Amino acid sequence: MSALGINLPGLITQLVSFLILFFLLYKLLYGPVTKMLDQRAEKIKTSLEAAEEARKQAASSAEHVERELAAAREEGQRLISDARDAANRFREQEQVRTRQEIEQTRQRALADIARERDQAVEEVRREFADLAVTAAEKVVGRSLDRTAHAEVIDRVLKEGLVERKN
Amino acid sequence: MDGDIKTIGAGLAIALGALGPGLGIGLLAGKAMEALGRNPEARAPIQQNMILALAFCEAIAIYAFLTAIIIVFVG
Amino acid sequence: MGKLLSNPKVIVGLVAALAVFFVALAGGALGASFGGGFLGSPIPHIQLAAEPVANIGGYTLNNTTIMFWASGILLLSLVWLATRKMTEIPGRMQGLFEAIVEFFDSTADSVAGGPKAGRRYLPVMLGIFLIVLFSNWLGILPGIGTIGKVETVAEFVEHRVEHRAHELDKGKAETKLIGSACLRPAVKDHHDRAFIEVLCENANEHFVVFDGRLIKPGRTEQTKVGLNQVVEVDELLAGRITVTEAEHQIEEGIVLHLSAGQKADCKQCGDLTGKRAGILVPYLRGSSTDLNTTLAVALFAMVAVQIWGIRALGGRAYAGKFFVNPFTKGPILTGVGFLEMFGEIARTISFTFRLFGNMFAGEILLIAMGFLLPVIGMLPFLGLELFVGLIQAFVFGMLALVFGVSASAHHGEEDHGGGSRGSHDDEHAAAGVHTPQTQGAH
Repeated sequence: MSALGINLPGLITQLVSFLILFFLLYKLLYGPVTKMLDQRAEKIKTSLEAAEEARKQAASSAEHVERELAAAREEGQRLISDARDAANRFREQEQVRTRQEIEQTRQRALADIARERDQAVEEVRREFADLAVTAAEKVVGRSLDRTAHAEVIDRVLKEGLVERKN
Repeated sequence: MDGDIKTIGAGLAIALGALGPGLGIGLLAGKAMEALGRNPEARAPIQQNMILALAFCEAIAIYAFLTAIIIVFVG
Repeated sequence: MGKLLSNPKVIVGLVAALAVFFVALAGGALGASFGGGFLGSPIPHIQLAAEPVANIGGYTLNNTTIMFWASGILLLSLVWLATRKMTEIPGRMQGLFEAIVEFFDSTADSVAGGPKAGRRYLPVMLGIFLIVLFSNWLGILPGIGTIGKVETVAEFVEHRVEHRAHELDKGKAETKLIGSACLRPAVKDHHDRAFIEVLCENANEHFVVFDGRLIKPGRTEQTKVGLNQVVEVDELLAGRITVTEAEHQIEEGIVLHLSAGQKADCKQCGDLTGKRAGILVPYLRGSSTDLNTTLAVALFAMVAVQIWGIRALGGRAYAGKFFVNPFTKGPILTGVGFLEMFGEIARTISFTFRLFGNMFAGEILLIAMGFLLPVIGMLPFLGLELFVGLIQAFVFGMLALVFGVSASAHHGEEDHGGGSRGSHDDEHAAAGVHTPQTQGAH
């Protein structure tokens, strides 16, 4: 044994040195490093889970937004078409009303014109009759009764008017 | 005379002791290459295990070498 | 290729490399046979036991112990640097050690089977790996094993005589196996008797002849002398000179005569007679090249294995692996139990010698290469030794893990290999690493 170099003091020295070294390594290396590794693994795990959660949330919120958006779009579409319908309806109504108004105005105008014309014709006839009577008096020389002559003239004018109308 | 016998003994110890491990290492490396050729994707584990096994093979040659050393320098 | 060769830089480089190679070849041991050998490095004194470098109050401090402390301090300071300020985002050192721990964590898990199952084995495995790795790697630094003090013949003899005289004082006269020719019971004085015995025992111990304080490089193989060429051991044994005269010769430490063979072998060495002789005792020596260190680590590992076994199975069940009642379970299982017990001891020895043998052989390999091809011969082998140091450290930790896992396994689950216990375990270990590198490597 001694030729191989194994001796008790040497062995004990190496063993004790080894044990001290091992203990220090355990304290300085193994403890902190495994703690750090586990901590990091835990952290990675939690952050992965958090990321997954966030992804899910994002996905669900995206879906929600999509749905909302679709609803909003539909609503908008509906509003637009409603508005368009209303506008159309309004326009038609207005058109009709305007047309009626125009018609009314025209009718009134026509009636006015007719009345004016009748009035004017009446006036002219009266004037004309007077003139004719006056003229005839002048011609016949006061022989004619004023009233009889007026009837004759009236009949003549009426016949003339009917002829003209036809 | 004593020294001569010792020298022969030491020589024989390492010569015979190296024979087996030599064959073993050859076989081992050959098989590992075969495995590598058959399955090149498994390079890392094959290499790892080959080196470990080589260390065990070599250890036997080392025992023989130690014996030779002990015969020459200690005995 | 032709283009490369026409490049003047390449040509100069090649010529320089060849020149270095041939200079090294001529300067080495081969060249020494043809009159060269000017670069020959001294072959250090090769011995298995660690050399003592200091003696403090009866405790002899070995060079390997110093080296072990040095590697431990280096390892601890690196670890301290790495884990001093742990941050979530690791720096370089922290990242390195975290990678090592993580690698072993995944390896342990893959062997123990299941996530976190390897945590039990991890501290021991990791500690063994790192400590052994640093011991291995520091041992091959240049200067370690070659720089040291010269122990003179007087010091060499004195240490051994003191030790032997101490043994004789305690009455252990026959503890050592000493050739009967060296036993001189007639000498009553313990010191004198020890002196004679030590001289007789180490008569062929080799010393290197040197001038002044430094051992001259080169030709060391031819400049070795035996102890009996410094002291006339035969004369002492025959009683023609007294112990005091022999002590005086040792104190001088001068080579008295050369054998005829040495004179013929080394004509260019000059006359060695009249020069001093001694041994180079290196101050530092790789701590893995000491059996005490490797045995200490192996004992630690095996004790840890037993503790794991007892913890996993309970004291009774674990003891049941080794001690089986032959009357209830049959004598064959009893035999298997004894084999298991023997296996534990064999594993310890195998652990011890595997690491020691690899590292010691590596050192001798480096010395031999430095001797054959000085300056450049070592370079590829330094790389090899780095690799071997790493692999051996890994194997040590790995085997501790595998033994621990198999000790924690229940009796029935384990496949008993019977007599071929050692090789069985080794296979187990090799097969045990499934995919430890799949995460880190790519």
